[in-house]
Amino acid sequence: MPRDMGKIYKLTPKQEQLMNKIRDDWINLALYSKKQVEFKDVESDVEWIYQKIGLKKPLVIIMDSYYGMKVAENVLSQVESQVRNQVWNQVESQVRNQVWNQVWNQVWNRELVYVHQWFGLGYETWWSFYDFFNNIIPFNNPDYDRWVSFIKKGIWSVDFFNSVCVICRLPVSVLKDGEGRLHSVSEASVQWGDKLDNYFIHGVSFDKELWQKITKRTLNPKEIFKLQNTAQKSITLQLYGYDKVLEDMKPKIIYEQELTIKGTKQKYQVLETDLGDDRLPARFVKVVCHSTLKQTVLRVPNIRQTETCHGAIAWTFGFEGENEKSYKPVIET
Amino acid sequence: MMGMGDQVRQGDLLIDPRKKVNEANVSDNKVLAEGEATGHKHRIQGQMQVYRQEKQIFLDGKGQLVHEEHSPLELEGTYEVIRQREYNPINNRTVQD
Repeated sequence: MPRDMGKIYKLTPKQEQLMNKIRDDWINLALYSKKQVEFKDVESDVEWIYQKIGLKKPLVIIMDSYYGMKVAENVLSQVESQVRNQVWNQVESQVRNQVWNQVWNQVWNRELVYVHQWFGLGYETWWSFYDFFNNIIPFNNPDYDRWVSFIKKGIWSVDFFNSVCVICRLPVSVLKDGEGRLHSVSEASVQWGDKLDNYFIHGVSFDKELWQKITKRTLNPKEIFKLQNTAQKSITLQLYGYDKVLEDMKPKIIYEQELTIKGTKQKYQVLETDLGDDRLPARFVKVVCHSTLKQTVLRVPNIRQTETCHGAIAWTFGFEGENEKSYKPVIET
Repeated sequence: MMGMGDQVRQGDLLIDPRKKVNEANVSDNKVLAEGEATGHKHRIQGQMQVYRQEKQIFLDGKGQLVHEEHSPLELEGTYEVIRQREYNPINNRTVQD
């Protein structure tokens, strides 16, 4: 019999659909199900896990947030030396390794590549990957099935120690922007039962105090430029709008072009100022909307093409280098 | 005067002519872009068909591109919809009006 008989080289369209469905099911469970696991739901599962690794039934602590979970573990480690000793490896070897070979013997080849993507159910998500293969090549492994049913009760994260098992419940609300990044400017984007929430703007994390200052616009431009974290600085500048921030910065005019829009004389400009968030000074193109006459300022890269208004605007639509001249709309509204 | 298959622009969307629609799926969603800041939408009206492939959007047929703030555009032919982007030192982002 050939050594790789039965190995999967390519997913069928039906299997690809199933992979998407299983991915979405796990995302929906972790981010949107709002399941709040209780002690009675997991008591017997935890006891079963500890039996598997030859330890006594532990103390089970359930926390409402990931931050709360980590604080609890740190406090416990100060008073109970046994808590420092994690037993995750034993748990993994009892449950994961049983199905490991079965999956990899069938999918590990050059044609089929698995791209691991985190989606937020704690820091360990191997079971979602196995869940897909369990659906197309059933493992018939009761230990794996019981593990998955334990996680599906609503576990964001779980840590196993010698005498304590610490569980984190799922968040009660998760908000994202149109591109799927954690985001909200009106409330915490990840909300937990104990209110130890997480704040994000377009995927960039902020502490609550800074997030409040930014969303209430109480941070002034100078304070924005003093932000040490460039991701936070950049996202804050975008949120405030470069036009408003630039008013205070007195930028250098690199290029200016006059044109008539709706019978009025308007100016397009390329502006430059050092924001301290990039290798070269920040460059902007200031344009006027042909319908509303509103001014808009867009940031462009500091490259030769963006030294003119046409080059800068062409860049914003992806016309770069030789392609710049292909940007020539006959109508703009 | 606009001709069939001309490159046109409505706010942060560029409608760029193409010879054919690349591999993409027909989409019932006629909203081409939704403004996060204002809630305004660029959307297609009429018989024009919208095709999507991941982040790419194509148009084919005859229709009208409308938006709450911008003047409508009559379209006829095959196009790709290009969303305006903005540079940031971390990564480029699309513009939302």
